[in-house]
Order: sequence, then structure tokens, then C-alpha cells
Amino acid sequence: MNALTTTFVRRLRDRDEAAWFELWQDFGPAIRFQLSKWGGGRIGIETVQDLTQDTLAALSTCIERYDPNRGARFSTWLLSIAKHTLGDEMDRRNAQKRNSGVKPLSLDERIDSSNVALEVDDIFEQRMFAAKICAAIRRTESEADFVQFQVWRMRALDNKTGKEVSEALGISEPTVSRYMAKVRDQLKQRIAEVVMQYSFTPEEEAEAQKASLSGSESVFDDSISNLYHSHQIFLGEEAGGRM
Amino acid sequence: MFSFLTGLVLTLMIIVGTTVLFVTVFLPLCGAIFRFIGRIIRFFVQETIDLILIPVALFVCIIKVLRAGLCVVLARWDIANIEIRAAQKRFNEAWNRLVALLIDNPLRVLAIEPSGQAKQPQVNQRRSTPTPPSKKFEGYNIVGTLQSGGSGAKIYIANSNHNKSQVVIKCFDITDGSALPQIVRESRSMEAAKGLGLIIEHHLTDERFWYATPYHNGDHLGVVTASLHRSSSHLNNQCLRKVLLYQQTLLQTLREYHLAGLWHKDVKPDNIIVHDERAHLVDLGLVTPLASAMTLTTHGTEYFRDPELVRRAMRGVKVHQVDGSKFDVYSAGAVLYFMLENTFPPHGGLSGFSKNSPEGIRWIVRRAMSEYDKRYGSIEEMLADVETILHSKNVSLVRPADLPSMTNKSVTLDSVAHKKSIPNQTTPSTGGGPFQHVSNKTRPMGVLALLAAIIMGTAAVYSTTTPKDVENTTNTTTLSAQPTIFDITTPPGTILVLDDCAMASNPEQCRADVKTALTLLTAQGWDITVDPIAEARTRVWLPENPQNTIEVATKLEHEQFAGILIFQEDENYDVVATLLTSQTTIRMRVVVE
Repeated sequence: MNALTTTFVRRLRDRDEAAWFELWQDFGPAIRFQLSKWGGGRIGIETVQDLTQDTLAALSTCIERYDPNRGARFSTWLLSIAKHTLGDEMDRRNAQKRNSGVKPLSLDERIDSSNVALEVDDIFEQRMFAAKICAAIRRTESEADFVQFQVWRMRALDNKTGKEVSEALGISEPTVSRYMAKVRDQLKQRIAEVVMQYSFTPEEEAEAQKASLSGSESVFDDSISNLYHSHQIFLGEEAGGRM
Repeated sequence: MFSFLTGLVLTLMIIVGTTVLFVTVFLPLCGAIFRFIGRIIRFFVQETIDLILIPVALFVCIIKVLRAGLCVVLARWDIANIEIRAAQKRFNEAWNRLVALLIDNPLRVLAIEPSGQAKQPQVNQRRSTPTPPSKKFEGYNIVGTLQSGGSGAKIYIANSNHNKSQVVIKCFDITDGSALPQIVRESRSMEAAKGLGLIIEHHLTDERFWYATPYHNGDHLGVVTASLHRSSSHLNNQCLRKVLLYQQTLLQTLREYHLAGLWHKDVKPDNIIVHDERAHLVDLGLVTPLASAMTLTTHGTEYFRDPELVRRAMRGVKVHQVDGSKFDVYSAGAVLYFMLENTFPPHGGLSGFSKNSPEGIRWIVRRAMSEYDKRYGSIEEMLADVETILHSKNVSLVRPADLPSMTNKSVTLDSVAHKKSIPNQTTPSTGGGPFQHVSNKTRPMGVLALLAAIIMGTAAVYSTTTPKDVENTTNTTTLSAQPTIFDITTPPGTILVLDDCAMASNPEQCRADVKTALTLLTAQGWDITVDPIAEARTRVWLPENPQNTIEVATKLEHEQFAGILIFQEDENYDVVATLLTSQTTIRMRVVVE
């Protein structure tokens, strides 16, 4: 694990509320969606919400015993905990139905003892990566100047031309270009940071390069725009299903 | 000629007579016959239904009883209880149907409506079937109910007997399952909202707490927005003007809240009723004073609540340490987004726009939903931007660069139109009928007058201290300089204990400390009472920053308490106790070994 990941894991271990909230905000929707998918309609929205929280709560105990030498990806690790949380819930329900008095295995026991091969599909991995990029955009927004960030947003995410942006905001086109470059640089740094933070394996760390985020400026903007819009659609669908 | 005229008159008389006979006798007779036939048909249908359903209900009842018996054998008392209740319900149904079969249905054939089944008044579409509350609200006639929100309170629409106006009554009844903490929170919010003149009346008894607010007969913003978007895929200029008008009135209301030192905390489409082309903000359940010393809580509604609020609440920040009005600004931005997109912002401030909308309005949304320190500094700034677009000839042509927040131009805000002021009918007491003003006047006589003068003088000195000064004083006063609760003289009389541990960073630890402290105090001879009902009643009148004032002294006397002991967590996460009596207010450390 790299230094950033180690620091983040330490924050989680230290019960840093902000770190937990960050994790919840960034990856909560992807976990919720996956749980709903596995549930196959057998579990309701409220239960999915509870299970997502349980997953993160389980993570808080598992984080103590996480072994980086096992080489599991961050996304796989998170998904594995989610799956066991769901399994535990289903066992509990079945045990209740049978009323056999057999106590289901605890989540800890299951996670430690099992070595279930997870079939992590590409869509989940893409969602996790898009979530990381959106987390980086959010961090950039929080540190950048409001107008400068909006210039980048209008150009890169809303696909407006430099002229349209300059007219709308009453600034010159060279200023638009300057602001764009500044925010783009900040975003590149934040992406590197976030990807490192939420990556446990070298393969995960190299995802940014695979997603054409190290290419030219226009390719970078296009890739970010695609990832942002796909995540936007996913969030809309996921949230819509819960409302 | 004569015979012709006679014949004509006779013919006319016959025609008129026949028509009169037809209208007055034949038609009503036909109507009565048809109605009777209708009743006969309905009678047979109803009798058949009842005949079929009585054995079904009895059968289910027997099954439920058997299941309950089995549960009793298995010692599953909770499930047995549920089964017994279900069986009882089925039995009641069977009995009611039997009564209908033998008495009610035959009576209906004779056009006699059985008693107790008179038609309920019609209510509008937002109301569900009126359910008469278990206890009446004095001075009001219930005409309908509204869907309950997350608070679990029952919400009624009522006509005031006093001035025939319609009001909304929100009622928390412990016997109906309302939780005491919810009542306490709601009563605090209500106390805060009283300053805005939004509460017509409130009452607190041992069993329930209810208050009345003005009723706005309209649809909530979600319904209105859906209808705006129904006509086309994107909003035209006329619709955009409506959107801006709603936003303007919403911001004007929020401005009044903020000027009164309050924060709504739950601004969302469901809490905005559109009536008379104005957006009326309702639901005062979370209204909080901006200067409150309480810990920030995460209450609110997802997608309309600022994530920064959650972040800060999780850090245990106090309300007065943040600018709560900025969280309302965020929510107002989310509401504007909702009106433009006909959906909530799934990605917070980063939510994209999928429908055509003017760049100027989008800019307002983004500015309002931006990071805490980058968004509009106040609701007035946002209102100025909204009004600039609203007053333009073409709302689609206003650029972000033209907005006052970008040009730093100062603008004069519109005056608030159609504001209905509520007469001062708020009763600070726990009883009385509608609009009956019950004041708690202190008789200015003798020793009491002298005491009042001293207290008022003290209060005046306190009131000249600004909150900042108070904060500085608090910060500079080290805990060790404060007395501990065990050092002070035992008060002469019963002390009511209020516990704010639910708001503490570690509620369990706080409660454990309080419990130990109370045990020790009791051992020292304190007469302590922990009474949830008295606590709820007290919280209604207790100020946010309690100090010994005339009102407090009067209330204590009325409640027959020597004082109130409030346990809460301070800014250093230590448990402190405040003893409030009619003579003094002491803040003390709670050192539990």
C-alpha cells in the first residue's frame, strides 16, 4: 500500500468521522446498487440502505485486520464485505423463519474464514473508478476559486465553447483558457491523490492511465466528461430507485 | 267565437295542469321508484357481500386465535399479542357485518341512514379521509387530515370556531406512539418559531402536545413542478417566470427566518405549498435558533441537505459555531434545481442539468450549492440575483455576468407582498381555548417587586453582553475555575433534571456520568425528580440560554420546582450542569470519579 492509502486506512482505524463520511459519500451509491442487484428484489430499499451502512460498519472492524500482502483490490475488498453483509442478513432472516434457534455466523467469522471468489463485473469496477474521479472533482471544487472552477465546469462538463463561456461570464477568452489550465492542473493532482488513496494494488493505481487521463488536455477533458456523465446517470438511477 | 276561446283556455289549463302534475307528482314519483329500486339492488348486493364475508371473517378470526394459542405455548408473547389483536379486528368486522346484515341494510332500503355513518365533509385532494382524532381540539372542528411526515405526528386540517379560518394542527400524542424526544425537539422549534408569528396556538398536556399554524390550501412544490414540466420537455419563459416567482417568495420567507435569528433546516419541495402564486414554507419541526448552543444534528432530507452539515455534525460542532443560514441557502439552491429539472440533485453541487435552462438561473443554483465558504454569503445575495432575472424582459437572456453577485452591485430587494400577519394569539401557557391570551403576569407588589427589579437589573447586564463576549468568556474561563456540582449547597425543594445527553458526542458516556452524578447528589440530600412529562412541559417555555428571569421564576413557582438542573456537553466535550433557580443560574462541572 502507498503512503496515501496507509494514511487513509489509519484515519479509518482511528474512527475519523470525516474519513468515514468521505467513504460513504463516494462509494455508498455503488455499494447500494450492488446490494440491490444481489438482492434481486428480495430486499427492500430501506434494507439496502441499512446493509450499506452495515457494510461500512463491518469495514471498520475489518480494517484492523486488513492484510495488504493478500493483494486484494480496494473495490473487490469493499464488495467482498458488502457480499458477506448481505449473506449474513439472508442467513439471519432464514434462521428467523425456521426459528430453529441456530444462531447465524457472525460477520467477522464469515469474512475471516471464507475465501469466496467474487465475480466482480466490469460495470462495478467502472462505477468505482468513476466514483473516484467524481471525488477528485469535488476536492478540486472545494479548493479552487468558485468562478475558475465554474469556467472549467462549463467548458469541460457542459461542453460549452470558450467563446460562450467568456460571453456568459464577461471575461476574455484568454482568461477562460488560463482558468481552464489552472483548474485542470489541480484536478490532475487530485485524481492522482484519490486514485492512490483508494487503491490497494498496482493494477488499481494504473487505472487512471488506462482511462486516458494522462493524455493531451482535450483527451483528458473528454475522458473526465464521459466519466462524470456516466456517474451522473448512475447516481440519478440509483437515487431514483430509492425515492 | 266564445266556445273557441273557452276551448283554448280549457286546453291551456289542461296542458298546464298536466305539466304541473308531471313535474310535481310524476317525476318525483318516478325518482322515488328508481331510487327505491336502486336501494333494493344495493340491499341485495350488500346482503350478499356481508353473507359471504361474515363466515370468512369468523374463519380468519378462529385461525388467528389458534395461532395466538400456539404462540402462547411457544412463549412468543409479542407475536401472540399481534395475533390476538388481529383476531379481535376480524371479530369486530364480522360483528359489524352481522349488524349491517340484520339492521343497517334493511334500514337503508327505507332510506334511513344508520346513525354514526353520516357523510364526512369533502376535502381537497391533498387531504385523506378525515379521521377524527381520539381527543378534540378545543375551539376547532377537524375537517380533514394531511399525510404525516417523518415526525410521526398526526396532522389535521381544522376550522377555527373563533374566526372561521382554516388551520393545520400538528399533534404529538404519547398514547398514539409519539416519542418524547420528538415532542421535546418539536416544542423547542415551536418556541423558536413563535417569534415569527407562525404559531396560532399551542397546548401541552400530560399526554399530548399540539399546535396550530395557518393552513395554505394548495399543492406542494413537487406537484406544481411536475405540472409545469408536463406540457413540454423544457420550461418556457412563462414557466421560468413562475419558477423564479416561487423561488423569490421562498427566499423572502427564509430571509425573515434569518433576520429573526432562526434557521428552517428542512427546506424541500414537500415543505413548500404553492398558494396564491406564492411559495409558503411549512413544517416548523426543525426550526433552530442560529445562536443555539446545541450540537448540530444531521436532521433534514437527503439531497436537499448540505453534505457539509452532516460532516460538521459528525464532528460534534455546535449550531452557533456555524452559519446555519448557509445551509438554508444550499437547500434553496437544491429546490431551484428541482424546479428546473423536475428531479432532486443526485450529485449535490456537482449535479448536472439535463434540461434546457438559462445559464443565469443555473449559475444561481451552482452558487447556492457550492462549497460552504464559496456559496452566497446570505439569502439576500441569492434573492438579489433571483430578482434581477425575474425583473428582466427576457429571463433566458440574463447572463451570470449580469447578476449582482458577480458585478458586486448593490440592489434594492422587492418588498414582501401579500404577507399575512397572524394576530398575537400565541399562548405561552399550557391551557386555554383558541386565541385565549393567558399571560403570566407577575404581580408587582412588595417583595416580589423588589425581586423583579433585581432580576431585571441582572438580566439587563446580561443582555448587554454580546454573544461573542459570552463565547470569549466561556473560552477564557477554564473548567477548573468553575465549581463542581457537588460543592454547592443543597437546594431547598424539588429539582427537575433535564438531560441533553442525546446531543452529546458520546451520549452513552454522558448518560452514565449523569446517572452517577444524580446518585451522588441524592446521597447528598438533593430532592431530585426525573419526570419526562414535566421535562417536555418545561422545555416548551425554557429559553435556549436559560437565565433566571421573571418568567422563569414564575414558571418554577407554577410548576412547584425549586429549580431545574440541566446536564449537557460543553465545547470541550465535558459534561456540565446548569442549575437554574428563581434566584440564580450556576454553571458547574460534573466531575465523576
